[in-house]
Amino acid sequence: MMSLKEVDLLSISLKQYVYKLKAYSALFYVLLLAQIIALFFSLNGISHMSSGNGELSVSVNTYSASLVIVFSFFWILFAAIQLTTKQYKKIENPLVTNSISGNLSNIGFLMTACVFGGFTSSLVGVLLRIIMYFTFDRSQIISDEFILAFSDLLLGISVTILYMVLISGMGYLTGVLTKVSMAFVIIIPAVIIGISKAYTEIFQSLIKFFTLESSLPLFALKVIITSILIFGVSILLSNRGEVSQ
Amino acid sequence: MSRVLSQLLLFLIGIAIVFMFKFKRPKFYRPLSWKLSVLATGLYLGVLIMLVPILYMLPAKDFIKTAEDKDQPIASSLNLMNNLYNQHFPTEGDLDKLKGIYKNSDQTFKLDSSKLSFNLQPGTENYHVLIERKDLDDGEIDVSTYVTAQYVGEVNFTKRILPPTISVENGMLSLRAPDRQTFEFKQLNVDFTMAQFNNQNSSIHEMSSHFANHIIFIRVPQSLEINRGVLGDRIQII
Repeated sequence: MMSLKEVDLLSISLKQYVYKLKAYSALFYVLLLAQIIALFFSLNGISHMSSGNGELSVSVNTYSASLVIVFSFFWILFAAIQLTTKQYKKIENPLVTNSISGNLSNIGFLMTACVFGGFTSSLVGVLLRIIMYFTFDRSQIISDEFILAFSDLLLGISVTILYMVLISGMGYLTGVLTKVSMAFVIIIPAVIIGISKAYTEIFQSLIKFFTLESSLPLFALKVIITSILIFGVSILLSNRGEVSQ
Repeated sequence: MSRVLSQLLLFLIGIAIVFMFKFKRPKFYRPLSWKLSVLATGLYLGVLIMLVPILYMLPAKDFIKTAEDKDQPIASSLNLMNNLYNQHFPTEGDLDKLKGIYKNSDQTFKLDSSKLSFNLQPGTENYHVLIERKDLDDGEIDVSTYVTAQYVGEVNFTKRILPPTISVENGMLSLRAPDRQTFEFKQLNVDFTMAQFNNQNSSIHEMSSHFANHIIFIRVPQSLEINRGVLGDRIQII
C-alpha cells in the first residue's frame, strides 16, 4: 500500500514537472536575455590597468565571462522565488496535486533550469572568446586562458550547475518563508545584512565554506547536502503552511 | 566614474529583470508558447555547443605567448644596471650573452672627423652610453643598442621596443629617443567557477610592470678623440 502511494506521488510529480516545464518555459527567455546583456558588458572588459613612463605606455584590458554566470545566478534566484508565488501556484490548478508533489515538481523544474543555466552560462564564455578572436587585434591577445582546456570547460559547467542548485534552494526557501509570513520579506534581508555587518567573520566563513573549497568532490558534497537540507526545510514549511491554511 | 555608472547600469538591469517577471507574467500562461520556448532555448544551446569545436579549431599562432620564466631575465637586467651604477662595465660580448638583454639595433657609421662629441636629446635619460675603443683605426663607429627586460605581468614585450635614432655628422653623435610607444594587451581570465579549482586568481592577474633601460654600446677607432662634455656621468669609456 505504502509502495503504491509512493509510485503515485512520483508519477504525479513527474506529470506536474513536465506540465510546469511547458508552463514556465517562458522563464528561459529571461535567462537568454540576461546572458546576452552580460555578454555585451563582458565585451567591454571587466578591468583595465595601465602604466607607463616617459617613453611608453602599457595598458591591459581584462575580460571574463564571469558576469554571465553572475547574471544567471540572479536569474535562478528570482525564478526560484517566483515559483512559490500565488500567480505561479495558479498554474497548478488544473492538476490533481498536493503540497509534496507540487514542491517536488518545482524542485525538478529548478534542477532542469540549473542544468540549462549552468551549460549556457559557461558556454557563453566560449562565445566571448570567439567574438574576441574575430573582432579584436589578435596580436594584442595574451594566449593564456584564451584557449580553454576542454576539461576546464566541463569543470566550469559542473561548478556553475552546483552553485545554481544551491542558489535556487536559497531562493526557494526565501519564497516559501515569505509565503508562511510576509514579515520574512523584511526579516530575511535584515538578517542577512545584520549578520554580514555584526558577525562579519561568521558571514565570511559561511561564504568561504563553499567558495574556498578547492576539491570538486568535497564541494559537490557540500552543495548537495546543503541543498537537500534547504529544499527539505522548504517542503516541511510549505506543508505546514498548507495545513494551517 | 565609469565603475559607478556600470554599477548603476547593473542595478537598473536587475530592476528591469524583476519587473519583467512582475508585469510580463500573464504572457507566461500562454498554453502553446512552450513549443516556441523549447525551440528558442534549444537553438540557443545548440549554437553554443557548436561553438566549442569551432574554438578549438581556431589557430592560435598570432597570440602573445607569456613568459615561462620572467624572474631570471628581470634579475639579469637588474644585476646589469646595478653593475653599471657601480662602474662595473660589461663588454659587448657580455651583453650578447646575458639572458633578458635584447639587441634591438646594430649600425655602423663612417667617421668624418678625428673627434667625437655627443648630443643626447631629451627623452634619453634612461640611456646608458658605453664606449669601447677598438684595436685598430678603421674610420668607422659601430653602434649597438640594447634594451633590458620589459614585462607587464607575464608578457615580455622587450622585442617590441623601438631603438633610438642615431646619427653621426661632423663629429657629433646624436641620440634621439623614439616617439612615445603605446602597447595594448587583452587578457582573458577564466571564470571564477573554474578558477576556484585550478588554484588561479580569477579576478585580476598580477600585472605589475617592469620597465626597461637602454644601453648604447659604441665601438670607436683606437685614436679617436672623445669629448664627453657635460655628459660625463652618462657616457662611460670602458
